[in-house]
Amino acid sequence: MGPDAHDLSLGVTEFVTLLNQTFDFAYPSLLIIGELANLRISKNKWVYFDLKDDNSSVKFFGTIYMLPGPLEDGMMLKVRGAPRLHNQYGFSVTVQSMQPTGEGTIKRAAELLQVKLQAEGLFDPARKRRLPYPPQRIGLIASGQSAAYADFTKIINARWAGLQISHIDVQVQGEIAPRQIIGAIAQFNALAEPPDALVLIRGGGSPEDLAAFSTEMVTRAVAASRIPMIVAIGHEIDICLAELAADQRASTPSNAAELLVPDRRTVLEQLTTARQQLDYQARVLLDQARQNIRAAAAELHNLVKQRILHQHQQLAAAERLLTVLNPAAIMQRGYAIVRQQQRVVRVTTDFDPTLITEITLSNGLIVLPVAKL
Amino acid sequence: MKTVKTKPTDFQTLKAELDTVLDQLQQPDTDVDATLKGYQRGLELIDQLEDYLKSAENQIIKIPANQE
Repeated sequence: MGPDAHDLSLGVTEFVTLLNQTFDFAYPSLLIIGELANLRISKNKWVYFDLKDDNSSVKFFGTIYMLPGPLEDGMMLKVRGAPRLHNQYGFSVTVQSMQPTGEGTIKRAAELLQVKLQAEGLFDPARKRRLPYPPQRIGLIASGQSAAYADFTKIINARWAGLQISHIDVQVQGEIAPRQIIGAIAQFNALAEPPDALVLIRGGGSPEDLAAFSTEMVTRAVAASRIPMIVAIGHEIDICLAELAADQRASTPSNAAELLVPDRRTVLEQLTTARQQLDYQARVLLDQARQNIRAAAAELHNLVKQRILHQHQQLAAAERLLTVLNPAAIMQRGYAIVRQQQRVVRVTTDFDPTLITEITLSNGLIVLPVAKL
Repeated sequence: MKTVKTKPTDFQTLKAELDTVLDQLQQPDTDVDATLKGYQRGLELIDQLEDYLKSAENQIIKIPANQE
């Protein structure tokens, strides 16, 4: 300690100010790892807790917005913060960000958060929307350098064509990852022409590597997305809360590509089948139309035939009637027509023996002269 | 005379129209005119869809993240 510092004489407030200035300059942001103790939330806004190890315990202060989800004493936390000496309440670290660390704690924190969000209905199957199949425009949230990105784009390029994939490059692990992921989801959702589907992917990793995808803020952002989302984090056995909140979960990034779009080879085969079906259906309908025309022609022919037959029958009946009524036919049976002076003699009193008589028989005419009386 | 070919931009729209045409042709009371029109349109749609799948490419656009 230099002589100046040694001789420094300060008021209490001056000391607090000096110390805080020193902290701000020397340690604006520190990462501290320890076991959570004495967690307390005040007025649903302020969070107080201690981090401790075997020998020491330090107080922390923050807001509930910094909580990664429900926590409980005994969990291991990684907290970023700035040391500060309060003028009345003493020393504490003001929290800038915090996250669970260590496999056991990460798992337990995810369990607690899952229970909480489940109760809110965030994972309810009824909330799930169907993704357009296939979508035309896709929003991809992934690390551009990752194997997940390479796998996804490789599979989707092999399977489908004509897609417009907009990619926002984000960090997928570490403190900054949740904020970047949420930002990307919000950015896509705010577009005037948003994509048809959002894809959030990351390859495999340790529970700590995947922790960003089980944070409360990322899980809520996925659930709140207006654009339907498919999420694939890690390998098949890894399940993150963001996947549970998504409209669809894929086991791996490659699987996400498979679920998003059909395989073009299959669709080309289906189109070949559709062409055959089209040919078949058109042929069936035209055959049917042809049969209908043939049936109509046959019916027409039948009608005309019946009409002609009917006319024939009517003619025959008239002929028979005429035959019956023909006087010649009657005379063939032995009858004769007697006329005098062009008049038919019907009764004996009409007969005048002084006139010439004409007798018409079936085969000719007999003229009788006047009888000599 | 210049032949204008429909640009295959939207697979879903074309596929939905093809499905409608096929459905329509499966109705037993479809008349001959509608059958011939549907058949012709169906073949056009199949050609366009095949072209789309064989020739279109995916486009990847990098969007810079908004600054916080």
